[in-house]
Amino acid sequence: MRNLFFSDAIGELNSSLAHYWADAQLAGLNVTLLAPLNINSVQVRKGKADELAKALEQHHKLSLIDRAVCTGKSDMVFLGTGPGAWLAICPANSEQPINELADQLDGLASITDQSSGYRLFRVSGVASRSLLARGLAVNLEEPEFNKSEVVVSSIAHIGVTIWQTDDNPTFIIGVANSYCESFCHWMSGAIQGVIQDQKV
Amino acid sequence: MANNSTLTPKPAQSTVASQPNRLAKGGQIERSLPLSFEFDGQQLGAFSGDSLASALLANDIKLVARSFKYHRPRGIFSAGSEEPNALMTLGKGKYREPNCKATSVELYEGMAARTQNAWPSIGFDVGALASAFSPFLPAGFYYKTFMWPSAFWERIYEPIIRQAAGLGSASTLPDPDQYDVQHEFCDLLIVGSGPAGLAAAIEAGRAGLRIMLCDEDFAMGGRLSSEKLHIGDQNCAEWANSCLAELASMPNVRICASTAIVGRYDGCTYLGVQKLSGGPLSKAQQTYAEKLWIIVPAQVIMSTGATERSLVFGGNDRPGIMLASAVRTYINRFAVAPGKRAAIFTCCDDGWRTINDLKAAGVEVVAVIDSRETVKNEVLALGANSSAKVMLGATVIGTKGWKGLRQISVSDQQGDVSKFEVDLLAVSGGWNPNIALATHLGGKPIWCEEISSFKMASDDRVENVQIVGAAAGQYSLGAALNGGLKAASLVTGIKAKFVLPKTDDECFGITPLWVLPKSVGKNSKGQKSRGKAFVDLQNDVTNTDIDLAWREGFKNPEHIKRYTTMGMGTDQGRTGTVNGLAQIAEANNEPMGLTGNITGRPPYVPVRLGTIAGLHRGKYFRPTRRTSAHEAATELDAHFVETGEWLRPQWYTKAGETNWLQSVTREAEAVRKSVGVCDVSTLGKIDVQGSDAAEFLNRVYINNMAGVAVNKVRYGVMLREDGFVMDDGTAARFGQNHFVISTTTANAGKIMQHLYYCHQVLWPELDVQMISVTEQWAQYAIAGPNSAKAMKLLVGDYLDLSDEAFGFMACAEFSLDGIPARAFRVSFSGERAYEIAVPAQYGQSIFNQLLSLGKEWDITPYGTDALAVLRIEKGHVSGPELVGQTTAKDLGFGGMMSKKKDFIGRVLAGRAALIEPDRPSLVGVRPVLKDDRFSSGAQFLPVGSSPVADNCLGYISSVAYSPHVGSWIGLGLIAGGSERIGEKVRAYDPVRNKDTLVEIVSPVFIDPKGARLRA
Repeated sequence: MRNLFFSDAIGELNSSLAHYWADAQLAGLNVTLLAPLNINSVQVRKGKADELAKALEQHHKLSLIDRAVCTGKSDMVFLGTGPGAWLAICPANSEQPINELADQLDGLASITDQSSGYRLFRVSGVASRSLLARGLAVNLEEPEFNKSEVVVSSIAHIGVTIWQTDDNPTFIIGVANSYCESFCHWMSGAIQGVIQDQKV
Repeated sequence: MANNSTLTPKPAQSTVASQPNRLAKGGQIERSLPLSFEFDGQQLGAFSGDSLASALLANDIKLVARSFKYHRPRGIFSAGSEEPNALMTLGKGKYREPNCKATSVELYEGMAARTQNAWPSIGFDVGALASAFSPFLPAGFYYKTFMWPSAFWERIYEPIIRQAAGLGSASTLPDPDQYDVQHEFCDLLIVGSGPAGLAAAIEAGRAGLRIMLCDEDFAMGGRLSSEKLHIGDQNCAEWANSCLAELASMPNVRICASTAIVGRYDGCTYLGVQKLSGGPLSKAQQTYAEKLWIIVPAQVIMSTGATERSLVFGGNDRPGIMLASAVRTYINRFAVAPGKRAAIFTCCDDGWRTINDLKAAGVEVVAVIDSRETVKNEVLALGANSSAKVMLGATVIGTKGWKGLRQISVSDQQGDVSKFEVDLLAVSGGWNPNIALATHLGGKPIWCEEISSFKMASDDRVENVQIVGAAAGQYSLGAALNGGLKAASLVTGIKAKFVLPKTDDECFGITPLWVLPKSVGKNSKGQKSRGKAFVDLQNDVTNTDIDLAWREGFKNPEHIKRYTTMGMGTDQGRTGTVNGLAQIAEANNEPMGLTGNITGRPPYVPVRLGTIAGLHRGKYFRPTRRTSAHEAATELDAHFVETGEWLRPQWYTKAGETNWLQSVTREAEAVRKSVGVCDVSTLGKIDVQGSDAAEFLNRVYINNMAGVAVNKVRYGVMLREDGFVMDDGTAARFGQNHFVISTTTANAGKIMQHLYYCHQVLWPELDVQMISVTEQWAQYAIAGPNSAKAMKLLVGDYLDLSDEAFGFMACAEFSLDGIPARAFRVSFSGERAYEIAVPAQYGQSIFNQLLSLGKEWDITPYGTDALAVLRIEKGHVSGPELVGQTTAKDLGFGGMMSKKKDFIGRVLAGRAALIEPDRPSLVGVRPVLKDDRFSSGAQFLPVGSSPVADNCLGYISSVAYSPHVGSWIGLGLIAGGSERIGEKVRAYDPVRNKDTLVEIVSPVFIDPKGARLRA
């Protein structure tokens, strides 16, 4: 049964959705549906904000900031998604599984597994901002948008969490699992828009 | 958008030869790119850079439209989006688009244009008979004429009026075009690329600001393309081109031609509509026809220019009568002579500037008629080199020519009348600053005597917005350029660096001539303006219509607008409304400033609905949510139903099944007899944690949730504050401080919002955290007598499913071969049942596993319809009963309402009206005659009573065909509830024209003692 249970749903999804971004290369864009990451929501328990920050500093050398910013290193980042709420993200094969957070933060935060609740899209290339501007009502241009900031907003009536990872620029877009196909439809349309812009 | 073919260069010579009014040289057209197009079936030639209007004029086509009401022949009147007359239908079939302004449309190869509102042809239009009845068709005639019989209005009167007075008709086929959308956050939005806009853009662009420069015209430059003025050593058009070239080289500047800024909204948000087709790309290269820009600039410079006014005199609407500025545009920008023998009628200096342009184009100017008795010498000098007869203090009082202007009659100062044979009359009544955009958020324009028009007050500066150039009444070229520079300097915060060369400065003196008096001339000889004098050309509103409206009591411009339709339509009366306002002011005997202007509202120009919808149309009108097992269900021939945003399998069709009832009945029977599996992933799932989680849930559910043991599930009901049921679901306790609650699919978002409200507003002192985990978990119900066997095969190695270890209403978290999983022993069907939840990425795999493992018991996937059959048989309430009008007691949950604790809705649920014994409460219903069928929504009536509201006892909420009972059954709410069990009543259904005798029964049709749940 093991093999069946671990059938690569994301891999199948990636191939079934690839046609949506088949033209991305034409626009100088690289669009990928990422393999699942370990994602947990972290919500601070009442009155435990300082202790939570200290615990994360102690265990992960991570300076927690209660704003919509991205903190941490490549093996674990915290995205501020609301007051006293973060998404803690680390690679699925991390040496320090994020599940350990539950023990480390026991009594300080409520941890909820959301690894399967999100689909993460990576969009990279010079036209990335132009692509996202076709759905996102947030200015991603510097200096208004700081690279460390996190956007919790919507695209095409679909909730998104967006953060920037490099200066290519590369953005990661977190989308609720069930909206994946509708989001890809938007993405496909946005890519065509970028292509048409470039033809003019 | 029938731009179906690519640009194919054709021999220019042949095209020029076919365009009799095309000038041999000049203009901004691309003579090396000839185009061909179709007009009313006639093949014509033109050049790239032409508008449809200029192309028609080049081909000596002057009759292009019939008027709205009287079907009078009309020609091209302007050269921009203010055009009232030249509305055309473009494209064919599904691409047909009516009411396009020929003056704004960029010509493209293969364009097919047709005239509209004329039958059988534009040349011979039967509708023109309406002119003969014009005395019976004054303003608002339809309000007075079509009063009775009222039944005639919808079927007879309105269709006739629409047919007679309609514009073009849109295609009834789905819109084949697609529409892009883009947000823009710039430092500076410049609306309009005329002299002020370009000067501002250069200054701000060089300062490094991120700029968006928009113009509704397909060519940038505004009036600089249309005039023969000079800026330094350069022709103004050359200067504009050099500015545009510099701006195009700046990475911080976005230049958007064909982009109308159509609205201004709160939060400094502007909407722009950019036409993408008709330009240099062929249809084959284009995905999108238009783009909606949502612009949020830090600063705005409105250099929107001004619109020339018409003059109101008898017969002022004949083809060949044209705004003087439009005449100059067609000559200078498009190299087209719009006539052969012309006169100019003006009340301001600007009209005189047309003389030399006409002369240069080879058009004979026979007269310059100025209603002013004196004009400056420098103005007179404009006509010095012309043989035109100059007539001061004179007015045009009449015109002749049906399909085209032939003659004008002019009354001089003494009242003597002269006649001139002309085919072109250039009229200039002064200029109106284009300030509509500035008024969209409520800004009120003021009257300015100096320019005889409305403009925005300089001390009424809209936040972050500067109005410059002609839009601010800075009409001369130098003033406009300097206005633009000054505005840019204010935005950049530094002194303007761009040094402007010396410019030509025009005269702009005016003595407005609002409406020609009925008797003209100093020494009147009784000469009268003859014929209809149109104030609003597009809507056929004459000066007498406004006079009539005023006499009938309409004194306010907004009222007169709605009564006469002045200022309505696709042009919004931009060339004529101020003339009408002046007539109202005169009638009211008040100054123009007191009369005021008509409020401008977005959109500034017509916008396609498709542009607003963007990608959100058809299937993608709103996003849809798919469960993890969507593909697997599709392969099983699932028929999906929308449940909120979710797509859920409604039933699965098997080979040989010809209707949904067969499928649903088979699925329900399979569950009752063996085992079925249903995707319940869509139900809301909320993770609730914290030391006060139990206390929190105790306060939001009517029953005791604090007492739920760990690894147990309890069914619960939530009320609204007003005491009515809001939702139901389960609460599973996985730890002392950890619950997962479920909600109905449709209410998931609402409950999440409710819980946030309860915590953040009502009880912020509680230590509780909550988050939706609906997306995280895929969940499946396995129901039926063989469910335990199927479930054991799946999870038996990892979870003890014995009744002792995992009895009814148990729950558990466990590892399913390394995958986190949750199991629940709950049932909605009335059968022994389980639910298993796994992370969504494994959902499809688990679903397929269940189908594979359950083959031995012929496991059957079932959809929401079979689910409904099963729950109705068991008497479980759902969405149709949780409608916001039922109490817990109505639904049989009265006993669940705790008396030992407080909870939301407790107090108001005790209101007298909500605890009346006669309130409709839940019962079952079945037909007296077994084969009878009834529907939900049917009203309960006592047998023998008349079907009136006073006799209504309640209604049927849910209906299904029950294979277990062998007939249609239902749940309903009836006064007296269970007291009526055994009683026969009517199920009266006037919507479906049914009246069925039914029996009130217990809502539980199967297994009332619950033995099957534990079997």
